[in-house]
Amino acid sequence: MEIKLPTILAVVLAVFFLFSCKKDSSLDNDYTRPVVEGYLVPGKSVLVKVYYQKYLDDTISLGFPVTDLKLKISDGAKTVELTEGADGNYAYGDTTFVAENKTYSLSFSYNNKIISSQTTVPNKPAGFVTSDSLQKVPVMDFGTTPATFVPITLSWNNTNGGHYMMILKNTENSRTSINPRNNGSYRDSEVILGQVSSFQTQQMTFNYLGNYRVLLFHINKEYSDALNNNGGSSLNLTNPYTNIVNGLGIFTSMQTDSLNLRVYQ
Amino acid sequence: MKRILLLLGFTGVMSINAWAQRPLKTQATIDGFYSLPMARMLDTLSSKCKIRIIYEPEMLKDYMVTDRYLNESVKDVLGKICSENKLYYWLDPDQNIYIIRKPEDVGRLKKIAGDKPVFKEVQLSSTALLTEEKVESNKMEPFKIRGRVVDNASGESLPAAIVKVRNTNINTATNADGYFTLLNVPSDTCVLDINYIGYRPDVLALNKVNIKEEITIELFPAVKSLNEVVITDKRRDNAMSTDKRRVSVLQISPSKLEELPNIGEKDILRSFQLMPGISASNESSSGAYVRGGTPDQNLVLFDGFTVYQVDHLYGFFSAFNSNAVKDVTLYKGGFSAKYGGRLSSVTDIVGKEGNNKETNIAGDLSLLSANVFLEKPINSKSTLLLAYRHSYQGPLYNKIFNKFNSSTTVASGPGGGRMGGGPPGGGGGGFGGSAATVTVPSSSFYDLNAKYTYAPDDKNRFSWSIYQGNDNLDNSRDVTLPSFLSGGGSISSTDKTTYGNLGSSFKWSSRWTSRLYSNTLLSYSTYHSDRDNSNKITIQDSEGVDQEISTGTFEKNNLKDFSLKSDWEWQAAGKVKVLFGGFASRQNVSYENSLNDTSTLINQNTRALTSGGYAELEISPVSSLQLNPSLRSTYYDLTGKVYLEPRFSATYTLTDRFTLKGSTGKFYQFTNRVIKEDILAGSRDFWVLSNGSTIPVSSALHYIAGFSYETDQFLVDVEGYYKTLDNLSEYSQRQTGRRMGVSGTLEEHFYNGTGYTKGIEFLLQKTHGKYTGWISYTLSKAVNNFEVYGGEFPANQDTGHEFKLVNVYHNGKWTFSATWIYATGKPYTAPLTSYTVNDYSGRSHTFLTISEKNGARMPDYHRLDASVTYDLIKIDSRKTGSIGFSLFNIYNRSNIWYKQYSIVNNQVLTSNVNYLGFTPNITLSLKWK
Repeated sequence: MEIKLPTILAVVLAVFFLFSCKKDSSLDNDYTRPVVEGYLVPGKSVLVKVYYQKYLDDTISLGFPVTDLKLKISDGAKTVELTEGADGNYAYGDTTFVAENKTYSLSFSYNNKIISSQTTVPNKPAGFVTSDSLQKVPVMDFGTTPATFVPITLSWNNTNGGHYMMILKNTENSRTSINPRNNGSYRDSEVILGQVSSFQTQQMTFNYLGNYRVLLFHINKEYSDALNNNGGSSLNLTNPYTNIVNGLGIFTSMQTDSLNLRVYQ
Repeated sequence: MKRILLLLGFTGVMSINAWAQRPLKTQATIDGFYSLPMARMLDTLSSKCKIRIIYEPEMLKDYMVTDRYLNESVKDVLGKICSENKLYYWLDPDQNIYIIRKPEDVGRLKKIAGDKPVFKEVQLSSTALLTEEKVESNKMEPFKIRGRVVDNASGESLPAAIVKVRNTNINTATNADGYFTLLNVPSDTCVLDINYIGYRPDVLALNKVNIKEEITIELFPAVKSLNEVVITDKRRDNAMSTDKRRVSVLQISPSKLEELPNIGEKDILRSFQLMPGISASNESSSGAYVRGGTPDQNLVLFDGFTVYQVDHLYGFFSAFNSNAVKDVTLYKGGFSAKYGGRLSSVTDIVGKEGNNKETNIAGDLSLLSANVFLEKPINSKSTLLLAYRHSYQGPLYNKIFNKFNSSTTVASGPGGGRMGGGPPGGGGGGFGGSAATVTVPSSSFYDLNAKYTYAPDDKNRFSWSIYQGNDNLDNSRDVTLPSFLSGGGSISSTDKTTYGNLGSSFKWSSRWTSRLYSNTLLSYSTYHSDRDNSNKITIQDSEGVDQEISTGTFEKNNLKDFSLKSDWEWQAAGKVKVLFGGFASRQNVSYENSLNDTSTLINQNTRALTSGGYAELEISPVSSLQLNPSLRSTYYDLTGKVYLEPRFSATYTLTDRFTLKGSTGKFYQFTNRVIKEDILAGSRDFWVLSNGSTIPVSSALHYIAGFSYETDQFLVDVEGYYKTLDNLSEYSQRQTGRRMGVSGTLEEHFYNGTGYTKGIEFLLQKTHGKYTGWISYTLSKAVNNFEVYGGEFPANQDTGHEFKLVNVYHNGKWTFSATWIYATGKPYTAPLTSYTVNDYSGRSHTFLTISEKNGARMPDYHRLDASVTYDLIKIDSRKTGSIGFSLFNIYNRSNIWYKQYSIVNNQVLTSNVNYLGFTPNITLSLKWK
């Protein structure tokens, strides 16, 4: 049997065309999912914000508000409708509506889709104490030897592996920064602690002198998942966590306990 | 007779030129006064000294010889005659002398001489004897012959050389030590054809005498200036070849690598990327992406032991010094049961043993590294080989290093910290990524090969081989704080990665009989990868007391592999060869990830014992059909299961030129290399052992079919494959709760899934002549299916089309080559939009929404490389070195490596991190001998 080179090449080409492939599927253009931000805290009125997503080259800090929506929240027994105040801000004024251990379902219709989410209010933190209500922050400045920083320990009960978050609020009217070079504007500092039952202060924990209100929040895992997600890396992006069905963002609940500290030098 | 005063004397004085690669062996001397035309003089020498001299009468017609010789050796006389007339003589393996004016003349002369083929044994013995033998031998029973194929100059054994009895289908390949046995040779007048890539094919006439003993066949390296020599059918001029008798096998000749363009080093693994089925668009990985597989699915063996770290300098260069490598075979799939433990392919590298005839020193110098090589016969039975390569921070090294350097700064820069996935410890970016007062520390890589071979007798060989390769990549910075910031002090940010491999094997090969051969190997291989990414801030107060604050991450991965294996080959009958063996290996893998040197986030330490055996049959029931069924069985103690891997391959020679081939098999993998998502945020990868739960034992099924068609000038090779992959693992680490000095936790996620790859590969190769090269085209698809990513998606290494064009043109001492590579862009996951939510305390967090997993494609990859090599060849065709000039990415195509995102002023900025642009390189290679 004699097979010639041209025959071979013809077969090769034929096979090649048989294998010719189809185009890649297009990207999932899901720009329409709304971004929801809602935190339920017992004793506070309900506020849920809804935004549009942003284009990658947008320079606005938050997305444009989504207006004229009909948001409903149900606690299983009672369903309330939120009223829109400022654009995209939907509120319900009754501060007794949110209660411990109840499950709340949010739902609204947008762009022919039902956007929904659900959250259960966790227990109030229990046994929140501090080892000392005074925190000395040694001076670190020219011409002095800094004294050793003695940390204080804040602790609480956590037997069920609950998730915790802490906010440090300086309550002085006129604030004195510990670091004289710090001229940035004041902001409450928030730290997601995870499944722990204590927090030890460090030299850098406090930026201001004076009275502090330390708020300990018992949060749901969804809060830390949604806000602590670093979105993967440049090389392997992952979608951020959300508990909003057909949407993005976070709808969650939490409960707080607090105590006072005084920071001095 | 017109000849004047002829006196011929033989003396016992032998002028052995120990240094010459191919000395003239004749001991004849010549005496007397001569005055005659040169052609006549040569005839005289020829007849008196019983040597064959080939010349062109036309070339010599004007030359006269007038001289008086006093018992001078023929060698000296020839040298004198030639140099007086500005001519040279060249000696071929058969001790034929060619009188030439320039090296190119040899080819023409060979053509003239080729009309009357000359066989080694025939030339020096009397023709009468040969005729007698012929008559007698016709009645002989088929017999067996055994022998060994070695390099003429160094005595180095040549594995996988093809020895064929001409005009029959009786052929065999030499084993790892160059030995072969041919059974059922019909007659002692047969002629053997011996072929080995990178060497000149040889022929050997059998006769009554040599069939009784072990035949040593010495091959000569292919010399480029001889390319126009008459083409024999099996001639291979390419640096790379496909073996048409085997399925999906590629072979490479390290000695020809310098002809191909390079980025700084003759690179073995990277050269394979020019062949179909091996992806070429991974500049940052010299590891092999074979047929949609990942580099960790490729088993890399060096002298029998597994090498876990196959590259240097972030993957730009392969870790093997081509000077120390004798033979490389890449099995693209469907490999036999002799190899196991990997899903996709096998790269089997055999190191050189060293010259057993003479000491030789060679060296290479390029813009990247310096390379020295020493081979030395210790005594008649043992040889030593040493090769050492060390990079220096020349322009090329820095260019590649800075590519990573600068991207680190960008990724961990302010604002990009979160999205860019900066180093967990905050990286240098926490301090503004300032490059202003950077002190660049030294980074380097080196590798060392050493081999000692001892052959006490013909039957036993012992060799001890060591390979060590290390990379020390230091991207640390020391930043001195200006005094207005504090009382003075410094920030030192350490970012140091060291990784490498140390392996050693002790091999005993033994030929029990001419039919039974064994190879037993005891080996030890370790891999380590350490990453220290930390910051130390030293602030000096007014009394001179240093205050130290340090943060950072430390990662350590360690793998130890202690193995024993024994491979046996038994030529049971002419048509049946049995291969069998056993293996056991103990692996110990540890991975530690700690923060601030105090809190350990992950500490894994796993040990596994893998053991088993295999059996393989090579049968050819009819001469045109070769069947190769095999079975491998492995016990893996971490799962407590036995894994059976049946495999089968077959080739069928339809006509002389047309071969059909196919193979299939089941493959398991127990050791996986985890590629971390962000190469900038930690050590890039580490090895883990399957544990049966979070990391299951992965498996694959291969189906391969193809054909090859060969003419005198061309080879067409087409193969299609389909591979299913099961129990693939992907790994990611997520750090949570790290703020305000809280160490937090590191979550490990293992995702499991399946996948498949399929493709078809075409190769059209011009195998002979001044112009050689090939066109390769691969159409392929690699798909993974992970539930966590919502089903099927293109695998990271998926490239649809790959086209490679390789051109090599030889002209005399010059070699010009150009390669062009085109590949469809790699898939990646693209961000689509961003959104921002405020947390409870009002701080805003910005996130990206992303496309489907790997839903977008990078732009197509293509680049043109070219090189010019000038060989420094002595007139007797010994090559003493070469000068190579190579241009990488000539038209400076910006091929995108990956995209990087950072959020600055709420805006998502995308920047492309590109592969190397136009890069010239020059390489000088010199051999002492």
